[in-house]
Amino acid sequence: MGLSLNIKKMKLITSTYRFFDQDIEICSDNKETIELMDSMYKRFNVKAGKKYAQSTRYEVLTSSLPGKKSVIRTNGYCREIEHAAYVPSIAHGIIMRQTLSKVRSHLLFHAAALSNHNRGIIIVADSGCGKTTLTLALMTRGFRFLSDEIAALSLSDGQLVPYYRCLWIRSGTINALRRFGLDYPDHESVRRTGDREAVHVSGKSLGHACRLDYVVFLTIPSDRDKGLCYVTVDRIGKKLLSDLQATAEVEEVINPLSGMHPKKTDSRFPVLKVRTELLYKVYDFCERNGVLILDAKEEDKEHCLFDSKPEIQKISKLTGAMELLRSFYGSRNSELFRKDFKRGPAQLIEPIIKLTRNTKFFRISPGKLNLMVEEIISVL
Amino acid sequence: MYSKILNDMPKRKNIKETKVDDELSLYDFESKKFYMLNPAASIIWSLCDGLHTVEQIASELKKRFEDAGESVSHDACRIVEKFKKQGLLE
Repeated sequence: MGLSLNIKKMKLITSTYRFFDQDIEICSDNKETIELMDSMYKRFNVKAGKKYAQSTRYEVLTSSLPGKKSVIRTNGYCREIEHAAYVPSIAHGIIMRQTLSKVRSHLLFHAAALSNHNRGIIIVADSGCGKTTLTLALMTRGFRFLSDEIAALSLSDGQLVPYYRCLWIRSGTINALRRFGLDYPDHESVRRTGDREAVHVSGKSLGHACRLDYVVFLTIPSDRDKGLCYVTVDRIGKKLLSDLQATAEVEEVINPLSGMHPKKTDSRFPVLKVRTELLYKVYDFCERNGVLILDAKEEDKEHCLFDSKPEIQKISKLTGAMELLRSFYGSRNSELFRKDFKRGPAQLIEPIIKLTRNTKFFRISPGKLNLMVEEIISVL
Repeated sequence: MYSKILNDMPKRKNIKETKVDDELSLYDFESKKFYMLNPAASIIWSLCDGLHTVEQIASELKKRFEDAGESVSHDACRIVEKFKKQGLLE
């Protein structure tokens, strides 16, 4: 790639992880990068050398010499970063986006997943609706944790499999649990960023691969305000930013005070204030134009939304499958689309329908947390 | 007029149908749009083959849905018009 870094003189740390059918080896001279990955994905660590899946090596190299940039590189990709302080978060974003886009063994959905007596349940929720809070609340009733971020269905046997990444807990989540007299499940805190804390639930709370029996969609009624979201994006030129503002009807572009970055503001990392229901336009635009999203934070939802009586209703399998398709984690760059479902996202509806033929689908409106838990348990 | 609509306009070829229980999803590869059809609309769609009139479709709907009201012919025509408006028919 034309870079003249002398790797032999640097002290490098290596860590290897397995995500479904993808192994990644990260080799870095930046301790913080490895620490961030290890803290978030400690349950994905594998011993170097034992590879059975497709393997990709990433080099994350910093330089403290004036004028020299840091670099993240892998086969066919190289990205320079001006300030070493941003390397861990940017490296994490790039590596995970690329890795998960290569997964072909599983369908990945942006959702939480739990198990209850070997019956799997996926919870799909609008941003900031309380998916994490609901996940923790169900765990207080004996549900086992599979994932807070990605629900993964095996394409070979339809099993719902774990993705034991750490949970990012906001103070609002703890307050909600306390408000309804629910215990915070046993956990280990691994890092803190701004107002969020990364935790790993204890081993005894972990579930195992199981069949998918239920999918619950937690959705704010369409006549209610879904609130705002603050999205921090990586470097972006003026023209592209202007196009993004127009496409996603961005309400405001502000300087960042994101917890992911050093506290000084930096105009190269714009923060976009968008309506939550338009967030998908931001993601779609950034994906198409190669813009990295560094952070996305939802404004706390109206308190009154969670004071009401929730209602749960069964929905048809086709409606459920279509809504699940909407939460598919991949994108047009996904290997699944490029190699296995070449005619596009529509092709995914068939495997989703096949994998969920014995699954029951429900929709629940937000309400008091303890009542939401009872409603969900009542339909199982 | 009702008869002419259906006789002349069978469903387009480049549309993928996926049946789940008694509902149908349609994916139009040209417009890249999804459509979800409830049980009644699914029946109407299945009979959009250029061979059935609206009256015949309404009759079929009445057989399958005992509580179908008097406006079933009008409803069937309205749905076919929607298919036509969305470009799903030839």
